[in-house]
Amino acid sequence: MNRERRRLLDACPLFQDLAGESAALDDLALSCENQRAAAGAMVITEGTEGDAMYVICAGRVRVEKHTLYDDAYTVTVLAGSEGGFFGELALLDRERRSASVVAESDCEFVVVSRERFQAWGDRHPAAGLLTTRRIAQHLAGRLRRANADIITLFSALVEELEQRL
Amino acid sequence: MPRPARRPPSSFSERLHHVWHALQTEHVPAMVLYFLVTLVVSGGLVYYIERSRNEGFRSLEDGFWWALVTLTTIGYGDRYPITTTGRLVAGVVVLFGMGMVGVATAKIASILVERRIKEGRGLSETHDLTGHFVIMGWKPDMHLLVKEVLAAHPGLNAEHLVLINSAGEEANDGLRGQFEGLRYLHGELTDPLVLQRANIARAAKVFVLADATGGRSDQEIDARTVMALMNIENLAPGVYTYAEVLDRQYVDYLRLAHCDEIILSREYGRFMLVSASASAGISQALLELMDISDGGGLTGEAIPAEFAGRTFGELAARVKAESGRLLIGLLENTGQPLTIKRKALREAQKTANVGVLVENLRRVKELVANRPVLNPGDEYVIGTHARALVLPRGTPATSEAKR
Repeated sequence: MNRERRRLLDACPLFQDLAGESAALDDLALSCENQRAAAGAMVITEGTEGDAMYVICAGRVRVEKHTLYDDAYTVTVLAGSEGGFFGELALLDRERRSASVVAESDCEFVVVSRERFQAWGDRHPAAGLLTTRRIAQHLAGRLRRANADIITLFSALVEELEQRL
Repeated sequence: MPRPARRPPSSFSERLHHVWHALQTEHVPAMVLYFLVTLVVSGGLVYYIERSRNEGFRSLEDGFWWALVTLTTIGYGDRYPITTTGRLVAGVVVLFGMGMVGVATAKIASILVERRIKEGRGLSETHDLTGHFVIMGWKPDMHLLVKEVLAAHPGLNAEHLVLINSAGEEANDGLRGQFEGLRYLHGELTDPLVLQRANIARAAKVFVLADATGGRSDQEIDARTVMALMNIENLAPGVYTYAEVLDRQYVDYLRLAHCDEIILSREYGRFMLVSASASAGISQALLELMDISDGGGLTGEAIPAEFAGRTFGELAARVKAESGRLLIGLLENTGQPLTIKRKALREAQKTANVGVLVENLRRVKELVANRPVLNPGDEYVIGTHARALVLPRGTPATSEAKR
């Protein structure tokens, strides 16, 4: 069981810098829990408070958001075979989930809660730093994309107003 | 997020309320109440007086029955009072009954006559209509226009046609005689009150004609059409509007007033003249294309749902194979423009990519309802709300070349 979790964490892009921190990874594998979800089940609900990150072992999930008219649309599809994970923001702060996640097939996850992740980081500061850095890199990428989106929206808005002047 | 206000349906209870209101202004409920009170009091009184001496009044029911027969001046005579007191009461009841019947008859007559006069003068209201077709303005050949509008809309009958114009009682009486049930409202095109009387918020279509009565200049006529369209847009934003304009300059103003279809009738006429001079016979061909009587001419029809997303070529082949008709083009985004745009807006939001979102929203903004696409090529992909422009196969009767 633990060996399998260990193998999974090794494959997850978030922990790819921890190759030299075997002891830390073993400890993390012990801190995780396994969770299953049947096809069609809601793993995470948009707007609810989250406190755990999910690494997909097997199966496929769909990340879903809602429009202003409350119509659901698919943001992306994540699969276990591609080292998919989601909910990593919950490891950093206590906030509402920004999207829903629905299992597209029967799924298996390894779940790390914020509390345990932080305790693990205290025990293995070097590994904790590397992992947090990885998450920060992820966030930086998203922030840049969000900035680009804001500029796109902003210029569309200005263009729209220009036509009405 | 502003949500569109939904139009309430014209419910049964609402119509009942209208009838009740009309009756109340004529004091009908009060009169019915007086009648019932008189009936109960006099019937009871006569029964009480007569019951011991008269075989005819055995129960209270006999008393009420006698009062009803007497008050309505029917007077069967199956039972009658025989005591002096009873006869005195009966005398009062008879007099009362005569008065009451007279008043009721007069009231009913006056309500009927008044409605007649109002209809004739175009002062009635059409609160009961929904999904109706309103034609605003007057034309010298109005009877032909009405006839052809009815012919072009199978399922539309004259009762669902409302004319708004200021041509007067005589002109409209002629039309109303010709088309049973046709409604006419007297009023200026620019008057919002007459639009309300026509229940415009629940109409399906409104056609605003270039009304040349009163010796107005072309500019004045078109300006009034624009004003009418603005009023309609204000009172009934969801209604599909057509407007006839004389001067091309006013097309932009009509677009600002959200007119759905603009007909440059004079330009069509000129175009016919010019094309006739340029190549002999083409005006005949165009006329046949436009003439939709007898199942001929160009028509728009629904496309089977499975063809949405497939190509024009596939649909053309299917139409040809099935009925030998010719698919010459498509009308994209057909239907109520507001509904179409709302639907498109909903769909446009379903993306996580902001670049795509902005592009989608821009496309919604530029979406033109009922846009014709003529002979777009076989690889053109058919949209979800498209209709087919189909030319029927010429029959031996209409194609003389075969003879």
